Amino acid sequence: MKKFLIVLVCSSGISAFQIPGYTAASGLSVNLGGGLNIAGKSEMRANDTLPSFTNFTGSLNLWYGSLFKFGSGFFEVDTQLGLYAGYVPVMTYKDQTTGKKSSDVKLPVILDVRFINSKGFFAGLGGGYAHTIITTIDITEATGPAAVVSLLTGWEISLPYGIQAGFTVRAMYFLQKIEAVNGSQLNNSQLNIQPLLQVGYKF
Amino acid sequence: MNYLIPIIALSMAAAGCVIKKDSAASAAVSAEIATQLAKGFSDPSGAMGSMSGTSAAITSTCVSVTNGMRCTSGGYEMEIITVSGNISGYQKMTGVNINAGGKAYTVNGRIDMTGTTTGSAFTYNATTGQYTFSSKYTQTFNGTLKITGADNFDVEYKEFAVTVNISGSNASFSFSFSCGGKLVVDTIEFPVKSDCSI
Repeated sequence: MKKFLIVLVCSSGISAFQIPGYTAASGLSVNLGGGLNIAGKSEMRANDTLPSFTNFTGSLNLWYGSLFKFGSGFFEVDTQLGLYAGYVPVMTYKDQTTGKKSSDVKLPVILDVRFINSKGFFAGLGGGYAHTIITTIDITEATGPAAVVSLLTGWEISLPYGIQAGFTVRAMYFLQKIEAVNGSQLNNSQLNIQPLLQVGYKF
Repeated sequence: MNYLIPIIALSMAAAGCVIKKDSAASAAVSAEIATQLAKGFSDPSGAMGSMSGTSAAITSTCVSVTNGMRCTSGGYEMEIITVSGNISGYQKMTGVNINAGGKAYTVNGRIDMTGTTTGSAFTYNATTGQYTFSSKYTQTFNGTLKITGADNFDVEYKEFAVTVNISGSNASFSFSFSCGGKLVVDTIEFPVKSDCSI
């Protein structure tokens, strides 16, 4: 009898449960994201084994839509324009003896376009600028620009009270060269993969 | 598709991104490398073996010379002479890998060293095989190193002074450093602070 009730409850739960969809509506939404940044090694850091190339990252996303729709069925998508601002530590290191830190931090601002269907699945691309701060042994070694191109995919759902939640996998490729005082240049371009959770509010 | 135009334009605008380094960071790396070299002259558990991150730490071959020894390993060669507490010697590197500030560098060049060792104390327990050791090494470096790899620069050590305090046992040793003198990185001169920073 007990087993029967469990099956009944579970069965009714499954039948009652529906995957929340995404409600496309014109207007602005704001998302906060957090997760990991998993960075590849640039030519400059190809032989570095001590630093961490996996670090926590955070971002703010603004999405504006719907701009226009195209496709049909599952592939009928709503087009949204986005602005991403993030904190992306590509590399961090702390000397255990001296406590002095080294890091390569990127602060990208990216203009995105994403295409999202009625179930909330989306894919997009973007590009922009990333301010860079490279610190070596507690000394600011270099600051300046990097170019960034980005691809993203994920799933987002609309919840009550205008709240949105979901996850994103974003790939970022930073393009940058570092010039030493003697004029020689080293490539500091690398691919970064970010699994992110996000929560937002639709105005 | 019109929405992609500003994205492409932004990326192209930033595509030529070249940023310049500050030599002060290279000087800080040079000071870090120098403290590792100073440690190499001071460590009783095996001079070259103490240098963290060097390829020389893998194997070494040492021979006796008058009042001292000369050790080689790969592209690394070190000689140290001790006469009545006065020490002298050199470290010569050809393609030696050293980690400093989290970055891997390849080092070529030669550093000459003069200095003193004071306050040495050594105890040994024949039953357990345990020993303890403490000493203070004051060293002065002169020479030029060519650094490549994670950065490219030349550094000249001009009367770079480092004092190494070492204590410990055959289980582990601890080191502390104090510095002075000057470093010249790509013709820019940097005085070295007592905490070995720039």
